[in-house]
Amino acid sequence: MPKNRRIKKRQTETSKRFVRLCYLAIAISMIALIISSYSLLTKGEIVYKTVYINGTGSSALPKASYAKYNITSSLITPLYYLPNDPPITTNMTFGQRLTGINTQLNSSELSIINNAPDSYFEKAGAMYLNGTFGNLVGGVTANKVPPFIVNGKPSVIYLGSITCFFCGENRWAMALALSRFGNFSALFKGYSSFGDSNFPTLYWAPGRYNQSSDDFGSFYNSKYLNFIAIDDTHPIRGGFALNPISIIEENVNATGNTAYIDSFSYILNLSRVQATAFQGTPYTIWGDYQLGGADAVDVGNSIGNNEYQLTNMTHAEVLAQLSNPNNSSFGLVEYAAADLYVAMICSSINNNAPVCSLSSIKAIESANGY
Amino acid sequence: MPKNAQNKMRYIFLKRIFSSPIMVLAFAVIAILYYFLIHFLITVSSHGLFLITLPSYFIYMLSLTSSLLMTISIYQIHISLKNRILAVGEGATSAITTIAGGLITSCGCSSPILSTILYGIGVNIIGVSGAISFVASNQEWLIGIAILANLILSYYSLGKLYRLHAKKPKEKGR
Repeated sequence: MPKNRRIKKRQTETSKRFVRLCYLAIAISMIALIISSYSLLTKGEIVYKTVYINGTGSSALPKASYAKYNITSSLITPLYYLPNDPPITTNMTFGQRLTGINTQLNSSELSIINNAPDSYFEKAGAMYLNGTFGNLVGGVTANKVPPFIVNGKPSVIYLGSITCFFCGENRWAMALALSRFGNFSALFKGYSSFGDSNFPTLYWAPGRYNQSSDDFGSFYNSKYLNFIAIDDTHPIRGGFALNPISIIEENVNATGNTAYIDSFSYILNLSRVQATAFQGTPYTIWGDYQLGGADAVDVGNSIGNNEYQLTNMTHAEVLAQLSNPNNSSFGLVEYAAADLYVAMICSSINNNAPVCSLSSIKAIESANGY
Repeated sequence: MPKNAQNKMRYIFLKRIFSSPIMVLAFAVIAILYYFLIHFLITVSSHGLFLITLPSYFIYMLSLTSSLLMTISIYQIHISLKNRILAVGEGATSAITTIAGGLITSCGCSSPILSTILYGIGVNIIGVSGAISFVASNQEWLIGIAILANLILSYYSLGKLYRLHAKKPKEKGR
């Protein structure tokens, strides 16, 4: 064989091998992309890097150095009516709906939340424990944190946004859980934003749905715990939006309320450690436990482009499912998520409340290590 | 070469790529893989559920345009190897735009992926909350930019292809 042809043949074989290598490299890189994305997401597997609020710290902040909050303060009692964000009673189309926004739940509606029977919590808890709900309940890790004590009671701290659909869906479960330890004298009908699925939800207080601002406080009372509620607001006809933390902090400071000011410092303090850092809304603290997201994510099946079953439900329909959850996936999921919150609170108050004696609550505490 | 002729050449090369069954298969497989990658990112971000607040055609468009860019890059590598010319494809960019697209689409009220990455590189809570808010409220625009970037790079890559193809193979040893 002439020398030139031999060289050419060798070169062709080499280039073929190289092509195969290239294809292999592409396949490997795709797999690597998936694996690296996954490992990035698994908090426990990445380097535990402490990020200071105003700097770039690199050493872990010891738990003992968390500021311990044990304060005496009143809580914020919100207004029943906001002149710039009045209740709307006209009927509007699903997906772009504000029907009933900022109207108070009537006594029978409120009773569904305040007087939910223990049997629903028991049933849903058992279903959570046997894995019936899969991903719909308990998707976020609970991190142990020092309790935020106000007037001798631990606190539930909530930082959410009225525009956010996770918050919208999750407030139902939160309300059910909180009602086990006290009661709401008022709750308000609300929605997540048009751009964020327009879910029917509860507001703790009338929402500033026309404004970029923050809502503070609730009409909740309990002998076991405090409820500190902060809902960031933006015009509800837009999409999800969140004011920068610095703006929320300014608004919190403007309230002049020690419990709220200190609770926000506490959130900032916890955000020095990646595990307990703010990752978006809802951000909640349940006594000794912090959650970086919603504990229930039941929005119904997708029924079209970014439209879910919950989008097309009215408040009355949601409340009907909560008042009789036996055949309702949504209702049972909300009760199960509430069970998780209840279990965290029970663990934080040494199981002092009557609800803590429910067998499913005890089982969840034990199963989840609360 | 006049611009019209250049565009015609691009079209010819595009036709040539998609007249090859292997390339069509590669395009389909990569599009599906990219779709699953985006799906995966959204699912992990939304506690195991595929929840989106964008019309799903944005995700399909992103997967398809990323796959187009990757397929052209694979063909470019193939041609450059055939002609023994050193050339780098834009395939990596398609992976980057897909991942960025996945992160953007999965970013909503709660953004564990984005925040984990940002905290990981030393961004503080103010930066993270600002980024979450910015990305979530500009999702459509950001995905649109990613799709446009894929299309522009595909156009550029097709131009590079005919220039590569026009070059004569380097004969070593002469």
